[in-house]
Amino acid sequence: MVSPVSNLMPSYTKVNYLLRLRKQIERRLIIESLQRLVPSKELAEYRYFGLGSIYYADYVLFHKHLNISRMTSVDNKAADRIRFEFNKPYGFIDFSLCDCGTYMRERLDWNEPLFMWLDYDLELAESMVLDVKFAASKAKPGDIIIITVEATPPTDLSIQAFATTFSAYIPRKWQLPDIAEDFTLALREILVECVRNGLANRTTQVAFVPFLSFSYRDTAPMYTLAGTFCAMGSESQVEGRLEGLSYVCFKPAVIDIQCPLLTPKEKACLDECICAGRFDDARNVTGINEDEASQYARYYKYYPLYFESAT
Amino acid sequence: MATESAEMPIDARPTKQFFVQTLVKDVVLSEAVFDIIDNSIDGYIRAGMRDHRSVSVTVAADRFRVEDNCGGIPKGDMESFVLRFGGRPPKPRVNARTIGAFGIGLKRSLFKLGQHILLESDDGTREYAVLIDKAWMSRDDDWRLPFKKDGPSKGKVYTRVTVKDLYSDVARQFSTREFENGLAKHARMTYTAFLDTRINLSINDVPVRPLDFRFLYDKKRHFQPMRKLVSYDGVDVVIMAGHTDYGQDPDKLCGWYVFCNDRLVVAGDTSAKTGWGGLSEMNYHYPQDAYFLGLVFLGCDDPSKLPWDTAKTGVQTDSAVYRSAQVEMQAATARFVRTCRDAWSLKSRETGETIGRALFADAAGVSFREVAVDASGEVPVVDGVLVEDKEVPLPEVANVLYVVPLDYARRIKRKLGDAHMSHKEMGLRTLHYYAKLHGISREQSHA
Repeated sequence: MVSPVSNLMPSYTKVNYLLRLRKQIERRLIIESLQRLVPSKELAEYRYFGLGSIYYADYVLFHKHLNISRMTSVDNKAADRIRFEFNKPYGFIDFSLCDCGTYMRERLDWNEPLFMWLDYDLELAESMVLDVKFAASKAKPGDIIIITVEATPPTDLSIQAFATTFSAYIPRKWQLPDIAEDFTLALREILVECVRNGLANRTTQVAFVPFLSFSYRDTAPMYTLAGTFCAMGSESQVEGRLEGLSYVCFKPAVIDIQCPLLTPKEKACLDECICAGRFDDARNVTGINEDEASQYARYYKYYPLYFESAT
Repeated sequence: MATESAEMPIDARPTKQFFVQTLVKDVVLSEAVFDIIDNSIDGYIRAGMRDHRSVSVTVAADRFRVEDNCGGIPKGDMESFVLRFGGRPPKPRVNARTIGAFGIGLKRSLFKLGQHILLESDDGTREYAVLIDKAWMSRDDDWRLPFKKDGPSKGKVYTRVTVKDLYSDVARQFSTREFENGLAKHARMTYTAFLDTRINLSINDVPVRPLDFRFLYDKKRHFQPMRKLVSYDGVDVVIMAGHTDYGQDPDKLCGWYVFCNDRLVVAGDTSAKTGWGGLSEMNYHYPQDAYFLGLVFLGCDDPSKLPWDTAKTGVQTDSAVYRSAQVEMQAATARFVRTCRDAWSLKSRETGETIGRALFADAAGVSFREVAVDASGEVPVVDGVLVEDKEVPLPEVANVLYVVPLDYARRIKRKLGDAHMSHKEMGLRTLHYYAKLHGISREQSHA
C-alpha cells in the first residue's frame, strides 16, 4: 500500500537533520524524560520504532543515551532505499521499505516493549489519525508513543476543511478562529483524543498519560506530543516519576521550544555566566537580548554545539 | 409422576436479566440517548408549553444524565405508563404531537446504559424518585418499583434521569470525544425542528445549534423549491423538495429526510425507500444528484399512526400512510433530479460553454423554515423547477482547464487542508483566494 503522501518531498532532502537546533533540543528533552520514566535496565529492552531518515539522528542518540539496541526504521520511499540502508549507523537497525501504517498492522511485534516515534514530516492527515488510533488499540502498559506533525496553521480557505476532517476530535466549544489561533493546542487535542479513541475500542483497561507537548520551529513549525500507556488507575504514579521536570506537561497546553541560534563563543560566555549566577553580565557582554538569554537559560543543558570539522 | 407435573406447572416467566438483555440487544447507543431526550421533549409537548425550555445531557465515563425543566412527569403517568413496559399514555391531547410512540423506548434505553438508574421528577404537584438497581434486577419475582422519595412539590419543575454503574462498553464510548461530537452532530439534525423555537439542548454544557436545510431559491436563475401539503388517514404530510446548495454546505445535506412529529427518523436517504428507484432512470446515481434535497414532515396527534419503527431510525415502508406519501416523494425526486441532470450540461447559447454548474454555484438559497412558514406568501406553493427562460439571460462562463504535476496539486490540496478534495475544488479555491487577495468580486462591476 502506498501512502497518499509518498510522492511529497521528504524534509531530510531539504534540511540537514543534525543541524536542527530546536529539534535536537526536543530529542534531548525526550531522552531526559524517558530516563526518568523508565528504569535504565528496562529501557534497554525496548524496541525503538521510527520513521525513515538518512541521518538517523534519533537512532544514534537513543542508542547512546537510552542504551536501546533493538531498532526498526520504516519508510516507503523506494527511490532512497539504498541511501536508507547505506546510512544506517548501526548494524542492528532493521530498515524496511514499507508504509508506516502497514508495518504497524502487519509486521510490528506488539508483545515487545515499544517506544514509537511517528515523526511525520507533514501536516496532520487522516492516515496519521488511523495510525495513531491503531497504535493506541495495540499498545500495552509501559509503551511510549511520540507523534510529530507539521504545524502550519490552516489558512482562511482551508480552516473549514480541517475542522470538518477532524471534527470528531476537536472540542465542540471551539470555533473555527480558535483552531487557527491556537493551532498547536488543537493538534494536541486531536492527537490525545485519537489515542483515547483507540483505547476506547479495546477491552483491556489501559490509560494514556500525555507528558510532553512541544511546538518548535527550525524551518517549518512543528508540533510533538509524547505520552505513555499505563494500567488504568496508575496514572498518578506515572506522573509522579516525571515530577520536577519543568518542560513536562500533563494538561492541555503547549510548550514552545524557543531558543536563539548562538555562536560557540556566545554559548561559552552564556554558559559561564549562567553557572556563576551572573546572568546580567552575560547579556551585557554578548549583546544577546533579555528574552533570548532567558530562553537559552531554560534549555542550555540541552543545547547542541555544531562545529565544522576538517575532514 | 404425572400427578406431580400437573401440580407443578412450568414457570415460563422470563428472568429480568433475560428480559432486559433481549430488550437492549439491538439498541444503538446514540439512539438510546436520543430516546431519553425524546422523553424530555414529550414532557414539553404534553404540558402544552410554548416558551423555550432546556434539556441538558451529560455523557461521561462514569455517569449519564439528562435533566430538563420541561414540565416534570406527573406521578400518575410514571406509575401507569412511563416505567411500565408496554404502557401507553392515555388518549392524547389535541395538538399534542408527541414523539414517544411504543411505550418501550425510555425503559429499553435506560437498561442499555447501566445498572444504577435514578429517575427524579417534580411536576409542580409532587416530587418523587424511583431507583432501579442491581438489587431490583436480581429479584425475578417482584417487578414493582418502589418510590425512593415521594413528597409535595418543592416548586421547581424538573425531570432528571441519572445512570451510574455504566456498562464497560458504554463507559468506553462515553469517554471519547468522537462519541460526544457525533452525538451532537446527530442531535442537531434529529431535533432541528425543536431547537429553533422550543428546546435549548446542550450536551456536556455545549449548546446544540439547529441544523438548517437550505434550498436554492433564486427567481432570477429559476430555482424554486416545492412545498406540498396532503393528508392521509388523519396524518398531515408536508413535502418539501428542491435543489440544495451542496457545494457550499459544510454538512453536505442531500437526499431525503423524513420526520415524524418533527423528530428525524430517516436521514439523507437515496434508496427506493424514499422514492428513488422505481423509474429506470432513478435506479442509479449521478454526482449531480447530490444537489437534490427532500424533506417530509409527517404529523399526527396519535403517534401510533406514524410510519416509524420502534427505534425511530427508519420508516415502515408497508404503512399505507407512508406509501401514499412515497408516491409524492417519488414524483418530486424524479422532477428535481431530472432537471438537475439536464441543467448540468446546459450550454450557453452565445458561446457554447457549459454553464449548468455555474448556475448552481451562483444561485441564492432559502432556509426550509422560511419555505415552511411562508405557505401563501413569497415562496409559492407550486411545483417550481429550473427552466431555461428566454427572457432572462443566462450567465456567461469560462471553462478553465489546465494541467499541473500531480505532486504539485497534492501539496496545494494539503495546504488547503484536505488531501482528498477534487482537482476542481482545488482549482476553484486557489482562484477565489487570488480574487479575494486582489479584491475581485464574482459579480461584474459596472464602475
